[in-house]
Parts: sequence; C-alpha cells; structure tokens
Amino acid sequence: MSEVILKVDLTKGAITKETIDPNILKKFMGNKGLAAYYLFNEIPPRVPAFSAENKVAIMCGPLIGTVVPSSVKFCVATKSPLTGGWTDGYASGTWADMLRAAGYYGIIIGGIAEKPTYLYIEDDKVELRDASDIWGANTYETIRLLKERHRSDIEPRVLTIGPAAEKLGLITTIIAEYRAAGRGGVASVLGFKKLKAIVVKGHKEVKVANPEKLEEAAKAAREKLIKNPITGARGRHQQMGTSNIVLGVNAAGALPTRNFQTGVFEYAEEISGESFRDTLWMGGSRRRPCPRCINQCTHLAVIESGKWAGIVDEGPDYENLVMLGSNCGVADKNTIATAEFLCDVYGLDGISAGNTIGFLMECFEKGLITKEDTDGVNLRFGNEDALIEALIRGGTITGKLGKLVAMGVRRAADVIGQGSQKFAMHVKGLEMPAYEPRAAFGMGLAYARSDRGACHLRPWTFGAECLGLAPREVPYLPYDTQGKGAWVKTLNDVFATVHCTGVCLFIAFGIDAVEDILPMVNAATGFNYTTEEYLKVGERANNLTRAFWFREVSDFGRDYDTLPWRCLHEPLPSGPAKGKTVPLEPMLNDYYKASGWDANGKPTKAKLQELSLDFVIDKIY
Amino acid sequence: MEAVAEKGEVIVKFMGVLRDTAGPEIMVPIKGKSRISDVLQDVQKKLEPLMDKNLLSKILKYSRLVLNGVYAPDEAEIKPGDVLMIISPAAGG
Repeated sequence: MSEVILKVDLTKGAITKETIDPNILKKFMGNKGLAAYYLFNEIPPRVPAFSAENKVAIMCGPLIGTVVPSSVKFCVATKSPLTGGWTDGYASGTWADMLRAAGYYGIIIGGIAEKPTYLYIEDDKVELRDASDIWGANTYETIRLLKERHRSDIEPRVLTIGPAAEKLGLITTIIAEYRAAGRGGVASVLGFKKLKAIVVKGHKEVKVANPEKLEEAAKAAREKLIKNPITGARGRHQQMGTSNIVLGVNAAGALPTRNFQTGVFEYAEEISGESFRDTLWMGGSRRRPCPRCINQCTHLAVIESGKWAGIVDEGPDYENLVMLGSNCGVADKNTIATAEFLCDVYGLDGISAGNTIGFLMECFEKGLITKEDTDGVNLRFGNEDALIEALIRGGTITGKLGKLVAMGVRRAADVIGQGSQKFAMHVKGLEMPAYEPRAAFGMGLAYARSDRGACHLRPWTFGAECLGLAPREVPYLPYDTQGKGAWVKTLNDVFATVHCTGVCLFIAFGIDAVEDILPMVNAATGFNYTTEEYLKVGERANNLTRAFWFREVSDFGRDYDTLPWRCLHEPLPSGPAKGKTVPLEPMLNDYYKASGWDANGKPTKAKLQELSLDFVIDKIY
Repeated sequence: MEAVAEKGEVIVKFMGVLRDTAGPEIMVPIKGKSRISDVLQDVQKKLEPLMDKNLLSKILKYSRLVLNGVYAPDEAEIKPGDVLMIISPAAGG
C-alpha cells in the first residue's frame, strides 16, 4: 500500500506531501512505530522540547478508517516538555477516520508560526490559516467555532489545544472531537508552536489491499467481541465503560486514595461504575461509541441537579474518575464528572491533574504549604470546591495554585521541597495513573520502565494480576516476582504492536492480538507479516523510543527506571496488600535480560541490529 | 442491604462479570471443616443455571480470591461467618 504524510514547517509556512517508503511502512507500520521513526530521525539531538526544532508527529495505523471494529486510535508524539524524553499519546473518536479519508496517514509538524495558526485540510487542499480569533478559546468552544466555519457537505473534524497548552502548562492534552490524547504535555508543544487546531474534511475511501479478506476477518472479530461478557452486547463496557473495574480494584487494595496513601477508598461504592451507570449515565443508555465499536465504553454524563447542574460531557473514564475522585478524597459523582469536564475544556491531562492536586492536598494537610500558597483555597482531601478551583486555576494557570498544578507533580515537589519528593507520585516526571503498584507488582515494573513515564497501558498487567484475566498461577499473581520481567516485556511488545495497528487496545480484551488482529493487518496492508515480523513491530518501536531517551538525556539509564519513594519504602496500610512495597530490582533485572538490554537498561548493539535499527547505534554508542 | 451470615454460612461477594450474573453477594452454607475450593464448587452449582457451564468454570478458575480481606489459595480453610470475595474477570484501562 502507498501512504502519504504531510510535513508542515510552521516557520516557513511550507507544507509538503511525502510518500512513505514501503520498507519503512512495513517495519514501523503506523502510530507509535512510525512516529518514533520520523521523530528519532527528524528531531535534532538534545534540542529543548519548547523549540522550533522539536517536532510533533500525528500518525495513523493501517486499520484506521477501515471496516475493522474500533479502528480509530491515532497517535500524537513528541519530545515531552514534562519529562524531557519520549512521549506518545492516543485518542479515539472520529478525527483519524477523517484524516485518512482526506488521503493522509500522518502529519509531522515543526517550526514556530509567527502568529496563532490552524491547519486546514480538505482532501488535496492543505493550508495554514489565521487562528488569532480563536486563540484563548477553550477546546469545546474551538471545536464548535471551527465546525461552524467549515461545515459544508460534510461535518469537519477538529483537533485542538486548550488554554492550558497555549500558556505552556506542562500537563496538557490534545482534544480531538471531544476525546483526549495525552500525556506528557504534547499539546503544549503545539501551543509553543502557536498551532491551535487542525481541521480535516475528507471525501476519499480508505483503500486496503484485500477488502474481501479484511471484511471476513473483521466479521469474525466482531462475532467474538459480541459474545464476550466484557466487550459484548450489554457487557460491562457497554454498561459502565472502563469504570466497571472500580470495585474490583478497590477490593484488590489498589485504588489510589488520597495521593496513594492507601489503596482502599471507603466510598468506592459511591464512585463505582455501577453507581455512575445507575445515575449520571442513565442505566448505560447514553453511550457515545466510536465508529464501528462493539465495546462502546464511552458514556455521556448528564448532571441534572446541584451546583454543577447543566454540565453534559462524555465520561468520566476509569482513570480520570479515580485520579480526580478517590485520589483527591472526593466521593461526589457530580463533582468528579465536572472535574473531568474542566480537564477537557482546558485541555488538561486528567490523570496528571488529579495526581498533582492529590499531592498538593497532602502537602496542605501536612502543613508543607498553606493558604498563602494556594491563593486562599482550603486544599484539603475531599473538599469538592477546592478540587474544582484547583482545576480552573491550573487550566488557566492563574495565581500560585494554578502555577503549581500546571507544572506537574515533580516540579511542584521541587518547589515545595521539605521532603515532599518522597510522596510525589511520578516516574520520569510523568504522574502515576490509577493503579497502586504495591498491590500489583507487575504494574510497578510496568510504570518503572515505561517509555513515557508512569503509564498504565505499557503494558496493562493489572487485569491479569488482580482482576481475573489470567489463571491463579505464576507469573500472574499480584505479588509474584518470578517470571514477571519476561512476561511484562512480552506483553509490552504486544501492546505496542496493537497500538501500531490503529485499533483500540480495549478490543484485545475480547479478541486475540495475533490470531484475530494480524489477519486484519495483513488484509489491509498486503504486507503478509509473519507472526514474528508482526510482533517485532512493537518490539522495534519500544527499542526505538528507549534509544530516544538515551540520546536525549545524558545520564539516562537504570536510575530512571524506578518508582516513587512511597512505593518502594512505605508499606500499604490496609487492604489485601497491607504491608507490601514493590520489590523492583529483581524484576527489573529480569526485564532487561528478556529485552536484550545491558545492566543499565540500554539496548545492546546486537538487539538493535536484530531489530533492523542499525541507524540508531551510532547515536547512542 | 448487606447479607448477614447465619451459623454455618459464608458470605460470598462478587466483583466483575459474576456480579452482573449473581448480584453483589450470596450466602453459601458450609459443613464442618471446609476449604475455599469447596465453596467454589457450591458457587459453581448455584450459578450454573444462570450462565454457560464451561465459561463459569473458567471464570472461577481465573478469579482472584480474597478471604476476609486477604488473598487466599483454593486450599485455605474457611469457616462460618467468613467473607469470601471473588474478583471475577473485568477489564478497564
């Protein structure tokens, strides 16, 4: 297949179209893999994240826009201003379908525009336009205004940044058709470049190598997904989305509560998926599915009473629900839904925001900061108004509190000092998401060595360890360390491969990543990947992003693959994991060995050659 | 309302897919010295009319077992009044 990307130089105002070399396309496939290939080669070594030389890659996978279920996940990647290393985030929804319908597989954005700008794409017409009148508008307002401006025979699809990214806050996300692509402050790099939005309209059919075979494989996948009690009709995702696991995670003692001080929240029932389903989500009847999705995990929350009455928004999903809920000691569903709404409209990363505010609440309760530092806000756990106020200030970067929220937890801890770094819950500068690693050691290892900092999906081991997605045996039990390193490595490569295809990771709960997804990839691309070649795509991407870190950060290595002090030294006080800390080092040794990395976590030359990443060797050796 | 165990019964609570089938909790009678595996067999019998037998069997084999707030193996002893939580498959993200 032949695929085309756009290259945008905002400094020169120049746009070029480039056909992707088929050999490169086969090796790196799409999304993470292809973004890593372009960014490794096109970003000069060690330039600041906020610089004209840094670039942002927006990339699709080969299944996006096809008949495949949930084939909607596109990637946004860059050098992160939050961590200083690699970051890539994903959004679902309808935006990427339209990009492919316009004839493009991706966009690489570099330079800095003279004034606020947006990119307008309508099939072969691609232009930079003045965004001065929408600069400062929140994400939902921007989407509305640009849709009105460009609506014609079809509704345009809009990707935008919010006020937080315009002001160079560090915990920002892109919002594409109401869906967020985080993490690591990727939206702020676009803010620095003064690129406010990308509007897309496309009229073309997404071509695939073998449409009949693709439909046949997609049909088989749909049938499996429909029958599955999690992903199927009236399954748990259709009823409660990802939030269906709140009670299970709490029962495992892994629900981050009050800045990860414990893993058991006494109001878990209140904030459970079941409770949201029966109230704000109207029995699960207000689903907002992505195109061609069986799971249908997204629900529309309607707040009909109380001080937040009138707010209507998608979500909250599990991650935001927990980080803005139990992690801040908040049990009120309306407040949590409102908090997520605010994250979306300001373009804030809800995980990072909830994590940072939870941290600041602990600092406030311990007397490390006072009302003088919070502009008078009584920033105590469970104070619903304080949570909302902190998000408004963080989203607009207003006052002392707003600045503390917007800089993320690592920098906030550095500013506050007084030993607060011990409970600043991040890895490599990226805020920890909504699983307590002391209750699931695989998640601890996953967080510690993930290529974008603490990430819950690189890989997601929690379901196998604590939620019954794998048998009760080694290496899947939550406190095992034996075999965990090799298992996490293999699973991480599978997850990365699935990411590269462009399907949503959640369909892998109902179908097999190799048996079911590979035939669809081969039918779409015509590349006829063997199983080994296919899984190598993910492994290659993971090694390339690892090499990116080694190239960008002079002292990068094992010391970066760690967990917050609290996870390593402070035993959990309650729940099934009471008394546990994460025994990271032996698992890390096994992980490095299984990965073909040296004792410092650096990919060996032999491993890089095996993965056809020879061009990397002289950049990191 | 939460169930209260009477003499000779354990409370079995469900998370995940079994909660959709069986509800939040059920009472399971036990006799003398019993093990978790005995209770699981009874749970299997109680729920078989509600879902596919093979699927149920697999779910129970995969579920995590928390006895009185602590993970426990299948062979752990269980006595009247104990609370067994069965965390059955669920997936989030």
